[in-house]
Amino acid sequence: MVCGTFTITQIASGDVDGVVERYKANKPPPVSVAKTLAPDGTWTVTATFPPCPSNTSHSTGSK
Amino acid sequence: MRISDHSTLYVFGRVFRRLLVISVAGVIASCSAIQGYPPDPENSSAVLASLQPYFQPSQADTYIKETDPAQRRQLRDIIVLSQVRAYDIEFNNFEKSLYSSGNGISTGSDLVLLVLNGLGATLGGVAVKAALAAASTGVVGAQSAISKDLYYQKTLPALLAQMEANRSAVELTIFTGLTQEDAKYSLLHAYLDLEALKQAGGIPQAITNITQQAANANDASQTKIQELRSLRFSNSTSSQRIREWLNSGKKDAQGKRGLNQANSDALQQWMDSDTTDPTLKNIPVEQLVDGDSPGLEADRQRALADPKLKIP
Repeated sequence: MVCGTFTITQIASGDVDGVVERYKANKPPPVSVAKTLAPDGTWTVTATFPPCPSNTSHSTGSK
Repeated sequence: MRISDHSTLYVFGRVFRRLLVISVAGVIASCSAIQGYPPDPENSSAVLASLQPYFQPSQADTYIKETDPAQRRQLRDIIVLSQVRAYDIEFNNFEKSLYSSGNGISTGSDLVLLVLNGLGATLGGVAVKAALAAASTGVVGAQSAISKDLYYQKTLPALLAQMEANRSAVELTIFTGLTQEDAKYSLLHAYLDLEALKQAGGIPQAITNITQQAANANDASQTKIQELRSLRFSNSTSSQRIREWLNSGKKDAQGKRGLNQANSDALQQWMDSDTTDPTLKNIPVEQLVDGDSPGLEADRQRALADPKLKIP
């Protein structure tokens, strides 16, 4: 079960929409997908899935 | 009581009689089951009795009073090896009894009681409503009995394997100790290891070990997932090939192909069922496709080579 936050960084402009679309195609889909432009001109896409259960030993990936 | 109630009771009576016959047949079959072990030519009870003196405190007294190092070592070896032998015999008996009970606890025996209870309640002249409730309770109870027995039978091999592994580890320590001089591995030291050997053959320690192993494996898996949460965009050939395969959907107004949802679903299903990398079921498809990571690169190569996905 996918949970928490996942990020892909340093994405070229021509690829960023494809990354967003592929994140959204996940089943179940993420709660939200956001793209942000980095100072170097590349993009970062962050997909947020439901929070991880409390019994998992890792963090949710949220910052 | 109405006529329809009588006919319902009659039908239930017939069903339960058939269940009873099937259950009794199951019990008879389980009674004649093979034991899983060849007959033991050794009279283990007699051997155990002959080894009892080596558990007496007087043996340790004799050892302590002995001043000659060679004699002390000889006494130590005899006492320790005799006790190891006794523990081995007892463990083998315990293992056999566990194995036998694992096969012998038949779902049939539990079912007979449950069906009899059900029959008694059903044919006891009570109203159909009450009979149905009792029958339902019997069925639910039967399902519980089956689950318990199946769980026991499926768990037993893992417990036995763990107990044997635990015992082997302690025996290795003991046998390594016996290769040393008495001054370096005394009888009193060996007693501590013998106590550990006794504990190693028990179910509680086996369960503790198995639980700990599962927890360790889970921790390792979670750490690996954590490492995959933020990755750079991959420009490897494998990523490009999978991206093209995924972007083979319908063309939009500008002639650009969209996502092929069927291919995305197929890849996610492949990830969910993959046994080589168990972390794949806990990350999104996109992370596998575009994540720049050596581990994911290996996973992508396996996906490309899998004929079920048919990635060009």
